[in-house]
Amino acid sequence: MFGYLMESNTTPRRVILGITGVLIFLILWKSSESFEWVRRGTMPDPFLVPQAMLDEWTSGRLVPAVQSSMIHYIWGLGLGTILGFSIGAFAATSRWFDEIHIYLARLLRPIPPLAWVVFAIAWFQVSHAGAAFVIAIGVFWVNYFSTYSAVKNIDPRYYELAQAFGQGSYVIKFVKVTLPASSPGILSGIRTGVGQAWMTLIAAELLGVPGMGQEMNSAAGVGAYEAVVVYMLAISAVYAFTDMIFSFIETRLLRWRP
Amino acid sequence: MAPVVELKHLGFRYPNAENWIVEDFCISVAPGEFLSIVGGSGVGKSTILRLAAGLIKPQKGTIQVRGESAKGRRRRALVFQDGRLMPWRTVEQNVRLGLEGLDLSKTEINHRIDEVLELTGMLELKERWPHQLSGGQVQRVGIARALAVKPDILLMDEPFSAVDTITRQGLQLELTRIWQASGAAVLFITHDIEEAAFLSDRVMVLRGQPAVIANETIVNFDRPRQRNSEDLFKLATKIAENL
Repeated sequence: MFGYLMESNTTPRRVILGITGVLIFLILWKSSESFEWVRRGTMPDPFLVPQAMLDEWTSGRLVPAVQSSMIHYIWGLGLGTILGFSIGAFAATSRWFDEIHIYLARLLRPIPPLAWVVFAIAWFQVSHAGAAFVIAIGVFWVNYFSTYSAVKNIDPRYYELAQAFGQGSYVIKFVKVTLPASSPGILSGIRTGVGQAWMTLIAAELLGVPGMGQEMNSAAGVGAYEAVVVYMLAISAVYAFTDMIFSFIETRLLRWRP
Repeated sequence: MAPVVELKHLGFRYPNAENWIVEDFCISVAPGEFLSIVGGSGVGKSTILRLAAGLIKPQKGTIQVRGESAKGRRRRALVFQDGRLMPWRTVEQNVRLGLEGLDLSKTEINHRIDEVLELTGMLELKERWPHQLSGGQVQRVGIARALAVKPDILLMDEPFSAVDTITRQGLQLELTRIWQASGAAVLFITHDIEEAAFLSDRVMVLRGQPAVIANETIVNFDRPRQRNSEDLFKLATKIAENL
């Protein structure tokens, strides 16, 4: 799996340029800290980040924070994806449902997921469920729209083909035409949702739900900005890992594409 | 012998359209017969085929297959103008489409798939994706998919119109061979009169709105036919005069 993913990204030129980009970023970062381009004491020192990471690890804060975040991340992502896909697909394939829900969707869609935090706390208190609820809302809309649009854009001739060969019922056509034909759009939505979930997760945790966002908030409160960077890097690592796995699955599922 | 398919007094018009595409339209296809319908663009050839395939329902008249009301699908199989393979299925999976849900064993299904792929010369390419095929190969798979259900009649909607001349001529020969080997009747829609004369036992010319059969010609030349024969050319010219 990893070999496949590395294949297109490991030409010497790309590696050298990639490392150069990181080094330039580190130099600029260190300069901003040394020459105080921002308010003194608020820019973490990049060379102290490894030590901060070790401290967070040995103090027993890092791993539980990641685990805690993963709980509501997985629940929120799963719930939002399943509901977004199901309702999007149903709306795109059922005329009456499409008509009955369209104004409601237009009304609710512009509300940012974080606006629901108030209700999340009221209904679920400061808990995994509350954070998962907020994450699910953000992920829901991404998947709803990508699925709706992907299904709506299916070439109707494939349905005619299925019907011509006796695969005419709603369920059979859904399985044999709708799902595979819209899979590129659906998978693209799921992948966007994976990223969207992280953004919402950290915002939700800043309000007190245990996890990496909360640890970042606590560290920032005592001026431990290197520790904040540690959690930012942890988020990046987990996200990169999930995205890599998803990319692999997506490539496998869509191997029929030219 | 009883006709394999009969369209009896069909009347059809599209929703909200004023004009009938066909009205009181009747044709029948005998078992094993190769019948072509030719006509200009928009005359309703493809609509007639879609009616015969059961994809659209007539407002008037009936369609009978082997003397029975045409319900179910397995006795009529359609070959589309664009080949129309599902891009997310391999060649073998595309051919399998019409067999899914039938009361057949796995062995029987696999046997049938291999049989029709062999007949159409696509067995070697059965693991390929549609985007890896040429236009002619796509049509062969379309024909194989239709043959796999062992239909009484193949309904073909200008199947060779999207391929180049050399491929088309090759496919016409292939189709003749496949048709003779399968024993199925063929209802073939085309705008190419020479193609119709070369392939068919009978050619019908469609004209007007609603469409009527302006001419019907029996083609009783021996097979295999010579594409460039003078008789075939004269017959095609005669058919063309009725367009």
